Amino acid sequence: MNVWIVIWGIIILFSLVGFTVMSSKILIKGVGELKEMFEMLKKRNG
Amino acid sequence: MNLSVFDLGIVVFYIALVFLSGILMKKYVSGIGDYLVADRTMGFNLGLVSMMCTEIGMITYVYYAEMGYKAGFSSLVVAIPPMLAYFFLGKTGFIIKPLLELKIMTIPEFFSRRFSKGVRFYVGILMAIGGILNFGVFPGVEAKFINTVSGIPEEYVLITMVVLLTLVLIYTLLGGMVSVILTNYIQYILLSFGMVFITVYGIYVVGWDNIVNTVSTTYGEKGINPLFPSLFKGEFGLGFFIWQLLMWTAILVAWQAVALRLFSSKDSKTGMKIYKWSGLMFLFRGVLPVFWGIMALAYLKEPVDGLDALPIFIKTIVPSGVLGLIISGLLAASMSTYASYLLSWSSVVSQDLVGVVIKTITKRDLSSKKQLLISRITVAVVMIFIIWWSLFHKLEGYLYFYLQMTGMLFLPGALVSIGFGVYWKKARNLGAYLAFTLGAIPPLLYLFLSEEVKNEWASVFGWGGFLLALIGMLVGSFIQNMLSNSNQKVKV
Repeated sequence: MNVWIVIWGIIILFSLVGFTVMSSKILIKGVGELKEMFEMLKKRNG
Repeated sequence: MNLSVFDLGIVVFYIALVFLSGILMKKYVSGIGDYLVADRTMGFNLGLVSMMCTEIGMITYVYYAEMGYKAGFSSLVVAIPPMLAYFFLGKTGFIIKPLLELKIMTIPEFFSRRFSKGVRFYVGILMAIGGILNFGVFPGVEAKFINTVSGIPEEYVLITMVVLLTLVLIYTLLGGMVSVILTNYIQYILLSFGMVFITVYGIYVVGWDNIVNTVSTTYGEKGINPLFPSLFKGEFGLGFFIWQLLMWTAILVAWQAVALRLFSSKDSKTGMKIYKWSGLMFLFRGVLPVFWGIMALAYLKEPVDGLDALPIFIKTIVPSGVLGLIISGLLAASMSTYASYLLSWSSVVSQDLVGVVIKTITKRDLSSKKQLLISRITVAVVMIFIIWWSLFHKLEGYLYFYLQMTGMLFLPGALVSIGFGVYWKKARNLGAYLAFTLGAIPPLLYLFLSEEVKNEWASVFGWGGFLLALIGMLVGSFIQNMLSNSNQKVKV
């Protein structure tokens, strides 16, 4: 098999797994930051 | 219509949720700082979510899939330069750290501090033209996409466009950046689900061997090896790579929608961290949609227009029931991009053009509330223009290249002027003027070329723009330094 096909296969697989893992991570951690942001804005805007 | 009642219900529920969040956010916006940069309250994870949402729209999927459909695996190369540019800037803080420490709200603001108000005004004009022409094709392409996937007849494209933009307009006008950050979060859930689903389900339906065989038989070696026939002559060879590296560095430094995200972060450390991690996300953002285009090539029996390949592919493979979620995900992707782009380009017009003119005439600073009002009016005007442009502009060549070339009307000049402005004390106004003017010539020429020439020469026009901008900066600064020994005061 062409070496380029192997490279593209690895990149596609890496992208799929990486995207799934990183998206889950930032969504879970983002909830806390969202709360923090609103608390700060509330305080500043009275 | 391809949508079942259940699918429609999901889409309506999603739109209602986004609309409601815009209304709820209104109470948090009290001035232009909250409206444009959320008063710099955004943390790392929200920053990353927001960055991804801004830079992933339906149009992103369409232009990447078009490349995959028309050029096969070779076009996957296109996803690598943004990753490298993000890593480099995030790791070294090159240019972006000094910009963050200046606490500016828009990129042209930098030019008035480092160069002059005249340069800022000139940059504002080029940015507004480039940005709005770039944004101008979004509604047309995306409304067509929505209509194809959902089965709405093509003649209703204008109505789809107006509905889409009106929804975005309402919640952007209400909440500005604060509302965008919250809705980005909701949108990212749908967007990421849609991206993973289409990829996994697509491979399951089409099959890897089928994909490889189709690309090999359709495009031969050229579709698999980006360096074919040689490193220098390949469509995605060295010239393309250099252009893209420069282009992405410029986008990350001076693209208003990206820069606004950067300026919204809590501090320079958070901003740099967001950039470092965005590199990987941008690799995924490119690879997955290009791969969808390649899958569409393998799956669709009849050849179709490159821009139609993805919507037809999605409509054909995604089962009813999931389609509603996917369409909501696609809408999510687009609405956040629209909101951010409307906000970004209107902030350039309102702050850097209208604001400067009013200030010059009245000789007074505008109040925060008046700036906010001008910003909102500008958003509405920009929206009307892009609907008109979408209806009447005919796209030629790769959509991806059109978008890059419109951005290049100011990006080469911006990268060179900001870079030299930050790190070279002898950079002068004339250098900045020349950098912007010369850098804009190749992309301007490109926009008027025929389709065949466009695809073949895009890379040369691309890196040529940056080279000319560099020459402009060096020659202009040298001349001005030579003519006047009056040492222009360097403020940065």
